[in-house]
Amino acid sequence: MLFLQLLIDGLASGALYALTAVGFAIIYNGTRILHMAHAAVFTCGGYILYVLVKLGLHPAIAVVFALAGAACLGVAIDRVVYKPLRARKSSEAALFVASIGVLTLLQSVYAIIFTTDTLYVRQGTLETFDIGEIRLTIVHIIAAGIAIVVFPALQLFLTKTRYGRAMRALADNPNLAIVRGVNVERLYMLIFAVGSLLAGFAVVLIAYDLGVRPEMGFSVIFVSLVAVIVGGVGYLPGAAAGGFLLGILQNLSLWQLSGRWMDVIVFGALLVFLVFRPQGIFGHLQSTRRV
Amino acid sequence: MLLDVSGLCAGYGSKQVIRGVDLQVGEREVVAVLGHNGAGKSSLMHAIFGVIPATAGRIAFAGQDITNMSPSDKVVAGMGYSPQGGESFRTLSVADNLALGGFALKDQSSIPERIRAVQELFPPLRERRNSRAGSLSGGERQMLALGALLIASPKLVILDEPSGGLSPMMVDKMYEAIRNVADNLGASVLLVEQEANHALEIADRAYVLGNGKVIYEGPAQELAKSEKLGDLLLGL
Amino acid sequence: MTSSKRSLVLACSALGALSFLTGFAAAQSDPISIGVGMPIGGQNGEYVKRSFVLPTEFAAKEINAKGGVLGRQIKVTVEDTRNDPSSAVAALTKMINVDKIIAVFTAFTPLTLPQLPIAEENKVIVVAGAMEHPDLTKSRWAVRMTPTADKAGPVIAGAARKLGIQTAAILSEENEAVRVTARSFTQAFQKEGGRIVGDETFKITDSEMRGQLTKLRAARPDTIYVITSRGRSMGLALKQIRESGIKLKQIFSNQLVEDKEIAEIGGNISEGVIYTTLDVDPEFVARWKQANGFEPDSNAAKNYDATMMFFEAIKRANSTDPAKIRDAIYNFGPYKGTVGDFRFEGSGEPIVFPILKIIKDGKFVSYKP
Repeated sequence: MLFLQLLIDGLASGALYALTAVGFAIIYNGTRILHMAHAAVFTCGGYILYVLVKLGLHPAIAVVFALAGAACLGVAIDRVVYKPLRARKSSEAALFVASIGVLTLLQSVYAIIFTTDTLYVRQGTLETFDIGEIRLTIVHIIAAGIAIVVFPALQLFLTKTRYGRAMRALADNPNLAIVRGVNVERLYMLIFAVGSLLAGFAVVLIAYDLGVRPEMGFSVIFVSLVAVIVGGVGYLPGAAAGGFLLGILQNLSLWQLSGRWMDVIVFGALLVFLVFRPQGIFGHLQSTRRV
Repeated sequence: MLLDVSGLCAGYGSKQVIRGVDLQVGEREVVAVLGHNGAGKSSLMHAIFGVIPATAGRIAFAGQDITNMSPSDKVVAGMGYSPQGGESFRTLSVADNLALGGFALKDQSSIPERIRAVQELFPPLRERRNSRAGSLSGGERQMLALGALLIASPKLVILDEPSGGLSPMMVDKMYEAIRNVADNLGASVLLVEQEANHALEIADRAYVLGNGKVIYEGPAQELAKSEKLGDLLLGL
Repeated sequence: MTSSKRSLVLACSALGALSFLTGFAAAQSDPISIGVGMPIGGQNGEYVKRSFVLPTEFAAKEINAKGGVLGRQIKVTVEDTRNDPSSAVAALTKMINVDKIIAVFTAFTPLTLPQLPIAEENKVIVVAGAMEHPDLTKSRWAVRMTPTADKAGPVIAGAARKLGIQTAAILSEENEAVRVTARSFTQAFQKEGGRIVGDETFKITDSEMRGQLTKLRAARPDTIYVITSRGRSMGLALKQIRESGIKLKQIFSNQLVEDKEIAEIGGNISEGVIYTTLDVDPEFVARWKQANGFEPDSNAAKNYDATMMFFEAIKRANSTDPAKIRDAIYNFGPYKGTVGDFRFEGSGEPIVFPILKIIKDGKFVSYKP
C-alpha cells in the first residue's frame, strides 16, 4: 500500500515537473537560451490565477487567463530582453546571466506587489477520492488528466504541423532552418509561448493546491533543469521522462529514508548523470545529434 | 534573366570577401561557379541568398530587386539554397525533412503531392522516409538536400558542392539529377564546385572566381577545353 | 565572499571610529539607541516584519509617547540581516559602531548564535524574545522571553497520555530549535509508556508534505504532533493531514497554529488541535489590533514583552550602562508581561511555562488535560 501510494504521489508531482521541464527544454532546444526566468513566468501564472479568482471570476475561466498570461510574459521576456541581446550577438553565457537578472527582478516585483506571504487561491481542503487503500486528491487526478492530454497533443503538434516541425528543425539546425525560409524571430515567439504555456499548466495546479508566493517557481525550475539533464539535453520526451522520474524518486525515497533526503536524491541524480552519463538516459537515441 | 547580380560586394564584419561580382543566370540554365579554395564561392552564394548582407551592388530576381530581402522571403519568392555538405535536419525523419522543404509555401495542402513527386525522382527517399536523416548514406543525404529544395518548386536552385563526399558513381548520378532539374522541372541551377570537370560537363555557362572577383566568364564547353583552365582555377 | 564581508565589517568599524571622534560628547538627553537585526528582505520577510520587528517598534512608540525612559527617547534602528549568518554579523557590527546601540533585538538560531561573540566583546545585550534554542542563554549577554524549546514537548506528552493515546508520530520542520522540542516530546512520551511510530521532517520552504504523510499514514499513529516555526508550514501540514485520510484521535501542535495564515488556508483545518502557547493578555491583543490593524501572534507578544521588559530594566538599573541593565534583568523579580508571569533567576533564562489551548469553533480556548 505504502509503495503504491508513494508511487502515485510521485507520478502526480512528476507530471508537474515534467510539464515545466518540457517547457524549459522546448525553449532551450529551439533558442539555446538557458531561460531561468521560466521560473518567473511560472509564478506569474499563479498570481494571475489568484487575482482573477479573488476578483470573482470562475476558476476555470481564470485558468485560461493564467495560461494566456504566462504565455504572453514568456514571449515578452524574449522580445524585450533576449532579442536585443541576440541582435548584438551576445554569448549564451550573457543570455543566461540576463535570464537570471529577469528572474530576480520579477521575483522582487511580485514581492513588492503581493508581499512575500503565501496567497491562497482557494480555501479549505481538497476533494479526495479513495480507491481501496489508495487516497487520491483532485489535484492528483487533474495532474494525470493534464499529462494525458497535453503531452500527446504536444507530440502531435511537433510532428504533424508546419510550425511544430519548424520548431524541431530550428532545434536541430538553425542555419538550415533559415535557409528553408523559417522566420526565426517569429518562431521564437511561438517557442516561448508554447514553453511558457506548459509551465502555466503546472502552476495553476500548484497554486490551486498550495497557494502562490514570489519564489515558488525557483525550486520547480531547478528540478526541471535536472530533469532535462537526466532525460538528455535536446530530447523532449527525455525531459518529460526525467520529470516523472524525479517526482517518483523523490517520493519513493521517503519509503526508506526521511524527508531530508529529497534534495539529496535530486542533486545526486544530477551529479551522477553529469559525471557518468552526460547524454542522459536516452542518450543512445541521439547519437546522430550535432555536436 | 532570372537572376541578375551586378556589382555585388559583401563580407563578414569589416572583412570584404566579395568585391564587385556581376553574374547572370537565365531561365532553365545551369550555371557553374568555379574557383580555388577561398576564392569566395560559398560567400557569393551566402550573399546572393541573403545569409550575409550585401554592402554594395544589386541583386534582381525575376525582375524584382531582392538585394535586401531576408532569406525566408527569398524562399517565398522562389529561390532555394542548399549549403555546403548537403545539410539536412539530422534528427528529423526523411519525410519531415522533405515537408520542411515546403515550409515557405503559401499552399501547404499541396506538400504531400509534391513529396510524392520528389520521391519518384529519388526513390531512396521513399524507401527511407521514416529513417532519421542522420542515418542516411552520403549519396542519400545529397539527394535529400536537393529533394527538399525541390519541394518548394523553386525557380532557381543554388547548390554548394552537391558532389561533396560522394563516390565517383554517385557523383555521376547526382549530376544527372541536377541536369534533369533544369531540363524537366524547369528550374535554373546555380552550382558551386571545387572539382571542375563534372560540373562543366552538365553546365551551360561557367564563372571562375578569384579573390572575390570574376576572372572568367563564358560557355562551359569552351572553358572545359581551354588551356587556361588550370591556371584560372589556381587563381592565376 | 568572505573577504568582501570582512572589508564591509572593516569599513563599518572605520565609520564607527569616525563617529566616535565627532560625537563623543553625547548629551544625557540624546535618545537611547537600540537595534533590531532581522531577515526582513527575503522569504517570509512580511512575517518577520509583523511578528519580530513591529513589536519592538510598537513598544518603543508606546514608551516614547509616555516620555521615554529616564527622560530620554528610544531610537530604534532596523537592519536587514538576510538569512545569512555573516550578513547578520556585519549588520550587528554596523549597528554597534555607527548607531551606538546598547542592545540588539534578534531572533532565529542560525543568525543569532554567531552574533553572540561580537555582542559580548562590545558589551551589547542580545534580546532574543522568541528564540527557543537552549544554547542562547549560555552567553552572559543574552536574554530571551520565551520558554526554551524543550519545555513544550513534555507538556504535550502529558496531555496525550491523559487522552489515552498510545502511539504518536511527529511531523516537524528541519530546524534545530524545533527538533529540540521533538526530542523532548519523544523522551517524555516514551517515559510515560507511549510509543513513537513515526518521525518525519520537512524543510521550511517545502509546500508538499504528502510523501511524509503517506509514510506516517502507513504507521497508523493515534496522533500526529506538528512542530514548525512558520504559520505557512503549519497550515499546509494541517491541510495535507486532513487530505491524507489518516485516522487520528487527536492532533497536537505548537503555537504557530494560531497564525493568521491558517485561517487564510481555511477549511477549519485547525479545528480541535491542542497546542502549547503562552497566555497572551487580551488587553494587549486589543491595543495592538487597534494600532496595527491585525491580531498579534504569540511571537509578536513575546517580542513586545522582551522590549518592554528591557525598558523596565533600564529604569530599575537607573542607568543606560549595558552591564548594569543586564544585571537588572538577571535579577528581575516577578513581572507581569503580556505573555504571563515570569521572572529571572541569575541568568537570561526566564522562568515561564507554556500552557495548553485547544481550537474550538475557530476560537483559541484554554485546555485542561
